[in-house]
Amino acid sequence: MVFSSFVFLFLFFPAVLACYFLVLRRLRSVRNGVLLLFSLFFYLYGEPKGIFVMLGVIAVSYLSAMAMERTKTQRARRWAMGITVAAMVAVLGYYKYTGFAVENLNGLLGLSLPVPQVIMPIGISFFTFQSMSYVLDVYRRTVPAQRNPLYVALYVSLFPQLVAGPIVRYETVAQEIVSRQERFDDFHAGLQRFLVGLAKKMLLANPLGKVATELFGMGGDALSPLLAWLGAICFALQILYDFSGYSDMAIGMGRMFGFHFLENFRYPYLCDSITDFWRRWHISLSTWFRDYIYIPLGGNRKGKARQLVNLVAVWALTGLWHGASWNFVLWGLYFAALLIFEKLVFRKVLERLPAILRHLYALFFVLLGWVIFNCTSLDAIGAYLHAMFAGTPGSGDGAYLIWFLRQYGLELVCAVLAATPLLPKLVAPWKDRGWAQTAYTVWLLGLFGLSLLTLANSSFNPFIYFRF
Amino acid sequence: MKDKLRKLLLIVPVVGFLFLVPLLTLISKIPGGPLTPTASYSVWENRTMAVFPQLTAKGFWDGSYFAGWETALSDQFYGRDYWLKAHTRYAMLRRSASVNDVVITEETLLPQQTATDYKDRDLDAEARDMAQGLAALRDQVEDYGGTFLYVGVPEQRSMLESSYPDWQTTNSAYRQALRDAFVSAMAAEQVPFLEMKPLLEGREDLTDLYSTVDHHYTLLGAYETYLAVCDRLTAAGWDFLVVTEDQITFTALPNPYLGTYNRKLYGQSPVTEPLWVCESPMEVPFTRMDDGEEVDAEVFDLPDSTWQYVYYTAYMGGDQAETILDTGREDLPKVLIWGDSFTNAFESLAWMSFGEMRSIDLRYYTEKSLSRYIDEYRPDIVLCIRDDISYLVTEGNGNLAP
Repeated sequence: MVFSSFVFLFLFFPAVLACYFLVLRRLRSVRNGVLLLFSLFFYLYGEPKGIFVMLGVIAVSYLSAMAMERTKTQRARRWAMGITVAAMVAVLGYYKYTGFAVENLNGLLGLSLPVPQVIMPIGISFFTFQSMSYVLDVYRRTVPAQRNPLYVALYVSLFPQLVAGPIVRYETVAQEIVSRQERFDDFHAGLQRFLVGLAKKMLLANPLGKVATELFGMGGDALSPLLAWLGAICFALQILYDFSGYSDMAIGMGRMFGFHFLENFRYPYLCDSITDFWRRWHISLSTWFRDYIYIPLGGNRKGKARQLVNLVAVWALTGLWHGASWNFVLWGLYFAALLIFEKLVFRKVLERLPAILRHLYALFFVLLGWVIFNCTSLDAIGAYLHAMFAGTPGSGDGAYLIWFLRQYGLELVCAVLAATPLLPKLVAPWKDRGWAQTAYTVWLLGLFGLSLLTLANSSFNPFIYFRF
Repeated sequence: MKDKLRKLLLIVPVVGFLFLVPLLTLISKIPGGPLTPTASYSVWENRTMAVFPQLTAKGFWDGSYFAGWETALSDQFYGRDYWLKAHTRYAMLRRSASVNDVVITEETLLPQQTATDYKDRDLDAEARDMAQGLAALRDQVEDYGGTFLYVGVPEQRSMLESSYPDWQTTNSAYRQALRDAFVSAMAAEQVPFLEMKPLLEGREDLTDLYSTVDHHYTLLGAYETYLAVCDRLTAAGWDFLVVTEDQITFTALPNPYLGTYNRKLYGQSPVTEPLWVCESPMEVPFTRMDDGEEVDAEVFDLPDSTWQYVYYTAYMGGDQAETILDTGREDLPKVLIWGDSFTNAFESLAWMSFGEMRSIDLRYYTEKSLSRYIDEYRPDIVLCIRDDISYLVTEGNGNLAP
């Protein structure tokens, strides 16, 4: 079930709101029970069979954390943690990477093993990572183990962030699961955030996604440089608003129910280096890898060579997390190379460059990264990059550009503007004034109306991050 | 307090709306209830609306049950047509390059096209295969003394191509390549071929002959095609009655006409045109059978009142698997016409010239192959009418398998 669907907006969401807020506030466990039931139904709706995988992962996490809590020796705790993490990785590996691994084995060794058709449960990358985060936090004693298995289940399956993130760390919500306050102000702020996310998805990501899909679908061989660049830019904007829109909706809904999830995006295209980009993009994933993989591997504390190995390992895994395909691995390694280059060679040069050049540098390489990300094979990546840099200008370029600007010019302008804090900064002096808040409310109502009209008119509605 | 009221100004309408829509949808489903339910068929989209699925164990576990809910609710929510009309109006106000895949110009509605990638296709080979299939049919018909004629009619996007704004994709290069390959192959196989586009291109006002709101020709365009076909058949030695221009009177219906494209705009098109019909100049009684069932002897299916919408399906009642129109005039030739919906308007005129007219549409007719049908029926004349977009389409009416 995607948030921008009729079933979610006009059945699931009102039902969960009604059932949740009809329960008295002091009956916290009942309210949590309502959220858990709806969350499980949310998952069941999209993946009836996959729910058993998720419940299994929840059960293993719960039992492992309880075992660690009750074990006295550090060695036994480590064993419990290690076995659990290995089990989670095995589950993720089986469902997500079996086919990929067999295909590559066949290719590499000239075998003809049958490629198993394993159906990947939706959101497996998110719920296994959240479960691992819980187990690792308990292992590190950052948080105590949750004695109520239903609360562990609620943490892992909480529907706003269940299938497309952000990856919420257990420590972030541990306290709020047990005792939180649902405040009127939070409900209002959460609803505002939800509407912004819905508008990002419906009014920006989907229309620009149509162009990106069409142009990438044509393949690099058929594209002129102008169209190839246009496709890359549209995809960059599509993925930003698709994913950040989803995160906004998740964060907003969480807040309506009294949860405060951490931010997942911070104007990523304002970055002035690749390092900066990854501090702004999918923050919950990059900090997860930093805290649970990079730092435990030694981070930058064991010398330069080890740091480089750690970086490559973490980024190869980051790429692989996004999908069982070599283009994702290449995408991860591409960023590893850029980050290493920045750390070892380019940082000082970069610091001396004018701000605009730093931005252009970062955006250029981020854009190339999205080409690698969005092409499904190495050949397609090569062809697309060739079209961008060495393609032949097409005779119909001008006409296509006019068509594009007439059809999607407004979306493009809004998408570019909304990728910067320009408007918030412009209205900042008046943002606390009553009239400005009323105007913002009217604006949000307008966006809501337009989003619903677009939803009614549209069947092109896939969320990119659902495939991870 | 003011702050709280201001916040309620957002919460109440949004949350209220989230509750209101399902509530109204539910009420509208109550039989005899106060609200009109969403129609089971959408006139605007020309399709049957999805219904809520039945729960089965298989459907539940394979996810199709819930997927069915998604589709059904998207089709069934209360006021759907108003929402869609409002969105269309918004897109029209924005003056988008296309609205619901329709290009709106001052005088014409045209389909939005995306560039067709045909570099990996061997159009010559495809055309050769198609022409060889047609040549086999020609041989079959000529073997028993009949006449075979393939009539190529331009589709609206092809005929009114110059109406597109310069910056719109028209696929003209692709269509030209397709046409050239087909014409060459037909010539090589010596299949009798009547190409209508060159005959119509010199006309002053093409929008009389081609619809500005639909992808077909108008009845006047169909009449031009009829005259050209009659010329070819008389040249081939057939003797039959040709309805001349001074014998026929065309009438524009007062009803609003919903074609393929203004239908997609939910009837809010700035471009309108009437649907044309004609009176039969002679009193020829006939019987009509559709798919083996006797039906009213009519060639125009018109609504009862003038305020009701009319569609291209007014001609011959739309696409039928098989229609047999028998005038009982044994002295006139028997004709078999096969093809897509361009045949409909043509047939509503052509029946007057023949003793018996049969029409089959291979998209729906599955009882026997075309070749076997011809073999059993042995019509004097076999006409294929296809548009120039479909020359090389091997499905439906392009499926010539014996």
